[in-house]
Amino acid sequence: MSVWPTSNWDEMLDEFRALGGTASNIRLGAGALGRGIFPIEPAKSVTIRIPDNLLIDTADAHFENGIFRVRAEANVGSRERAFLEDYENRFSWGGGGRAETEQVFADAQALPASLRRELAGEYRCGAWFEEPTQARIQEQFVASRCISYRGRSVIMPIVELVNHGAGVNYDTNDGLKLAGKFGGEVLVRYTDLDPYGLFLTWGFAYEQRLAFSIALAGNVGEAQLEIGRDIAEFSSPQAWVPRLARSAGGGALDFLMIGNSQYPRLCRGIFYKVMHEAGLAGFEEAFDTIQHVNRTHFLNLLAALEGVKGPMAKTLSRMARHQLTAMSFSFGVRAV
Amino acid sequence: MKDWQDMIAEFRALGGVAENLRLGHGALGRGLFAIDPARPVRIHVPESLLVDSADVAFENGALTVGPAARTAERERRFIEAYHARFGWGEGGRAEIAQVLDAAQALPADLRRRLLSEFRCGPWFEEASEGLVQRQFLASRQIGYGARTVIMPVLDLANHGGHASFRLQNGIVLQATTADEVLVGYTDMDSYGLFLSWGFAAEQKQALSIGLLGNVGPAQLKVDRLFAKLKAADRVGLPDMARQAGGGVALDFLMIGNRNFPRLARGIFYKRMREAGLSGAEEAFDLVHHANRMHFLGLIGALEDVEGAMADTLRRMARMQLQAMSYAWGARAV
Repeated sequence: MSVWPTSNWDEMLDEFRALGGTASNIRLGAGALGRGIFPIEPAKSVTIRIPDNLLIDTADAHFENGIFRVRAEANVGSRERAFLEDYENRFSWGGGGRAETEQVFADAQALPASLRRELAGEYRCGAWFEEPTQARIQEQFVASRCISYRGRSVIMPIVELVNHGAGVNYDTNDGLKLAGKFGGEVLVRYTDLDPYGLFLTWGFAYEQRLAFSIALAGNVGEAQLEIGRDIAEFSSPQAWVPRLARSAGGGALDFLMIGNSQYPRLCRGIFYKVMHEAGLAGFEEAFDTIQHVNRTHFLNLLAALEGVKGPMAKTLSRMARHQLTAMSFSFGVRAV
Repeated sequence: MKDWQDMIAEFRALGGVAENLRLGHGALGRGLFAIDPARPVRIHVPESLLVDSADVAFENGALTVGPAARTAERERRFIEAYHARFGWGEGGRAEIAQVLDAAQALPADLRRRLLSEFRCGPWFEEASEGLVQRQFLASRQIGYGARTVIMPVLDLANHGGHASFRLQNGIVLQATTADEVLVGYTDMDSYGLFLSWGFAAEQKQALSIGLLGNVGPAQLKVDRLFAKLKAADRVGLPDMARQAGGGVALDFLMIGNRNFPRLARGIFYKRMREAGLSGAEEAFDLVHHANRMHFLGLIGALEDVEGAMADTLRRMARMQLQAMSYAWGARAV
């Protein structure tokens, strides 16, 4: 069996390339966002490409005594398995990723217990506000390192070291690729999720272009409407149109976009189209009410955090502000 | 005038009514309280004790009633003594100075932004005794018919609750309360309340910031001019003026109302219909968006800023955003 006993970045990249990966003009460094990936020569392009054989299903990742392992039954070669386990334990999970995840939990734990309960319950701020067991820390770590790839949820080595920002998007046409020129740190847009969704998965606050409704149940005229947050990755704007599952008393949308800084007339347009197709009346006021419920949710969150000190309170306040800003970009209506 | 009882005795001798009333301290600082909570508190400041705010002057740090005032001599002496002892002198000046001190504690560049970009009012100007006096007067004056006046005794009541001032041969406040006597100073929004009084409180409605925009191809100007409103008026339908080029100017615009969430859009649509303008639906959305971005921008500018004033401004912005969110549907007006 091929063993890959390496302790440094360059050796790890050599093995990565030997397994079919591409990693050109990159180095590991630390910047404003903490640990990240930087170009060796900023004037030249950066390329990182993870081949299919190094993309394992999220379900195949597990931990044994705090060590990252690929499950025995995983459909992966032995050399790839050795690489992935070693990579994760030296550079990712064991090289700072675990500590980063633990820090988010620690910041959450520093809040008063009653507020933590409100954040987990009333404000649905996610697993960060539950007890920080090892299993939960590992779960959040894996959730923050995976990506939807050809219908699978996979863990992406190396690329997961790139921080989120206004940079390039992932290219999933042939393996998982990230390429471009970067004057400073290499940044990639993790997702088109909204600031709220970004916080739920990664535990930080960042401006996003879109806002989606929180999960809620309400009415459109006489009919009941449920809205979920079953938000897949968006490969194209067509994917912004939610599916409506009809039921006896109304229907359920898997998600609903309520703000879009690029296309502010689209949110209402999409909602009207879906409701119109479903034969429901009274959707104009229903959309206003959905926005009101969402605004009230995040404004109440801001109120709950007033006077609370510490990094988590700041992150949550910033997230709420970004979410409110993104959802404000909804005016007029455009025919869809 | 040595103490509260002396002052109240002279107030009554001059025609004022002060029943079941004492001065005290509560959660909001100095304020008015019922002596017997089971009985109503009644205060009536007669017209003879209402002084035009333009007639108020400050001499050597003391509030005085100017010679042009239509105030009789005994009333003048009472008002000056009242302010030396209760209104301005022992408490009122200090309260205003405290707000200005909190503003001055902010970084200078942020103060400049608060003054200009976020239009948070004179609190963020360079501190001076003149500014303390101006802000004191601004926070104590009330519309009375065509006049703007200051009112002794009643100006000690803190803002809150459901009671309101009644204009009736002077100004009347009546309330039954187990605790502090509170009065809704104004129907103004949280932003307006901050501009005048320097604190944050939830209000039922939100009014637009002053802005320029469009309704279809026509220009729309929205102001925050409330001069025509009296204390007992409810802010609702704005006056509209035609502008050159076919545009319109509204002296104010309600954009949210907790009690009547369909009213804000209904009022705007009515005025735009009257002006013969189309495109009112999206124009209202855009006015809303501009207001939201303004106050979210303010919250963003205050991120990482500590201190009492930053806390007050954050709370004010959040309350303003909450009140403006109460706008859905449209009601025929």
